[in-house]
Amino acid sequence: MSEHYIFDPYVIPFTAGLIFITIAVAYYWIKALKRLEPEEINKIKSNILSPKIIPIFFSWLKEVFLESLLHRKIFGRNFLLGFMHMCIAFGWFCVIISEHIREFITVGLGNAIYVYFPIFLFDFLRPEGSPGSPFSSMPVEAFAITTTAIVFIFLHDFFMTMILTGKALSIVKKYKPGLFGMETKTKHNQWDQLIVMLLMLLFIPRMFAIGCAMYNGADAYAAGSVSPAIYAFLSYNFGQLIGPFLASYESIFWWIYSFCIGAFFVALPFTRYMHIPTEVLLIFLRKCGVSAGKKYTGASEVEVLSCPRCGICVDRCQLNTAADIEVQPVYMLEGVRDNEPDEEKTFKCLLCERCESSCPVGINISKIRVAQRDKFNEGKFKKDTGRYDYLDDVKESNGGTADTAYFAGCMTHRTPGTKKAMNALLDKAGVKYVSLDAQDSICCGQPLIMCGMRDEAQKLISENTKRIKDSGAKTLVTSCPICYNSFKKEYDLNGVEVVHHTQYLNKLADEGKLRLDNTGKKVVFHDPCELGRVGGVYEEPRSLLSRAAALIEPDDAKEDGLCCGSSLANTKLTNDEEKTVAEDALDRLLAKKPDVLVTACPLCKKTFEKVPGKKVRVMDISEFLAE
Amino acid sequence: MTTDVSKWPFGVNPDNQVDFDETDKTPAMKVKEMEPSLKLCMGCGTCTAGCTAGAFTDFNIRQMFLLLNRGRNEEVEEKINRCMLCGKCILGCPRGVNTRNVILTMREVLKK
Repeated sequence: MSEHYIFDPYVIPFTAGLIFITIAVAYYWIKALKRLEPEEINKIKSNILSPKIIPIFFSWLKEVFLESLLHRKIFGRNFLLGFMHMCIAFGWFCVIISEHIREFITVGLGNAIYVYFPIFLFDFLRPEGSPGSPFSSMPVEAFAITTTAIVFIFLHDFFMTMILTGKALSIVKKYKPGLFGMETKTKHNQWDQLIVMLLMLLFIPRMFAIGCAMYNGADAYAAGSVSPAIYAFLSYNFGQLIGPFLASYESIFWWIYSFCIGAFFVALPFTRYMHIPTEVLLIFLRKCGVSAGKKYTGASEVEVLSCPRCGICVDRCQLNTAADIEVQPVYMLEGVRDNEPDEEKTFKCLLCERCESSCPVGINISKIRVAQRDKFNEGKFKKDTGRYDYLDDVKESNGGTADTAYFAGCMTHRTPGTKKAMNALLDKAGVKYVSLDAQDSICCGQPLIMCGMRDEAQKLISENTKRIKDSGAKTLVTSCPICYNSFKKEYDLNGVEVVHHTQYLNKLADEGKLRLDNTGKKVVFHDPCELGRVGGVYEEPRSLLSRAAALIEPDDAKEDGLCCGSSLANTKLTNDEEKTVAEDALDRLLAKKPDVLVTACPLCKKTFEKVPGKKVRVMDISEFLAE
Repeated sequence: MTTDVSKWPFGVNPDNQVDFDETDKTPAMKVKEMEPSLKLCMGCGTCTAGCTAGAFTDFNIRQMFLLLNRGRNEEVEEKINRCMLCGKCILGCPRGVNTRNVILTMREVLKK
């Protein structure tokens, strides 16, 4: 095979782009991986250097296929949206793979070093003497319309059709986002807008170039056993359409195509499309058990780079839908990535995690946000390590004999109805328990942690741990979901089981200790963010309520549960902004006209109670059951 | 005839007048600028009544606001860190003062 037909200057823009993107992605990846904590590196090492790597590898492959190519999670949100993404990603991937295989079969693996070869295959593999291209020296015997060629040209056209369908859908999406389940338009920076343009553009010159090539070599393509109008249904027919006018400009189309794709590669590492390569790394790290944690490390950075800025989180955020505040993860993470995090975007958030539950990439948004808050708070306040030393003088609660300890929590002290109802229910069920914070309570520390002061919360955590251990209880019941998460995730309690009161009451009811009569009232259960999405408790309150009343599910239930707007994770939203969120959430919860709105968080209860003009009774689940 | 008041059989509070030449009111103004809802405070003391830290020490949120307004910034600086940020105060406030942010803002302003 002669050398000259596998090179033409027009491949240079593409090749340069490919080299650039390889170096740039490697640079960003290495920069991120260098920031990994030693224990994270050890975790990865121990996984890679052991037989565990085999199952990890296969599950990684499976998830990359399902999420990065098929976009399973986006299908779950909206069929059209998923279909659009799948068409583009999976279609493009398959075109690349099938063209590579066709190259290897036709001219052998020896040409694999010419990385540009497969992408311009239709030009390089052309019948002898066909006009249009600057060169045409393909030996006739290499270019034969065999069954293999027919199959691969068909596959190419099939997957190209898929990509073009996806592109067409993305144009529809631009004008009718509602069809795709998107309501608010995400604001993208100019680089993101540019790369979307390039992506839209680069398949058009390719279609023109291939169409012209097909038109110019029409006789040779027609020599196969199947008519080219059938096996090359897209490119041949398109070529017949444009050929009479444009066939002599074929080489220009190859040049434009090469430029577009080269520019796409150069722009990619600086735009949101960086998620395409990085997500593959992210899934691998996750399979090795490394993900964004309490500190901002390399794992967090990989997650930030993996944010596709798809904007699914924007519609989920109640601050956007109810109060028109622009702090959604799309914008927050963009700031983090560009090394200019925005203070307002970092702090004005309720950490309700509605965004996180819908993120198709599964980014640990709240963890990254809290780590960012920690960074902002560094040096903001005067260091005072002894600020809670006064807790040392506090009398330790005497070690009791009860198996169960009840920790009401600060918020519950402000809604004493819940506390009274809990005491009544526990007495009724004959539970021997000790109230840990009846006299003087210490905050669990979670409010400080959520506001970005994890270090300062340590003293509160150690004091509470002492108290809980001294009580000798084996089960710790709490009425506040914030405390529940704090005890579960931040404390080391040596086997003391932490349960929220909904779980405990449900257990008592299951065991027959707590008898519940069905009142027949119509109730809607509101999933508190901290209990549901953060704590993962959905079923117990429902099981309890279905025993005692006619339970109706609101439109936004479980993972879609609404935030009341008063979360302790926020200090920067104004009272009015919080109230707007609360009113909006209450309206949506009461759409089905229940008699009682039941919730399981003292903070949510208080917030909804405060909404002026509400026409429903708001109760904690324990109050409802006690009645 | 002079009388030595200190020998009287009851305590007399030290002079508590605000001396406008001596006091520095800039932190108070700055805090109110950063968290305007503090201006709504009417000093009812609901915040203090339920305070978690107040149960253990003489920490008193209303006093923090008063001391700041009177320019007694050192005293605020000394006591303010006892707050646990638990949020009981904000739940009780009848005027909608964002008390937690007031505390954080005070700490931030007084550090400067």
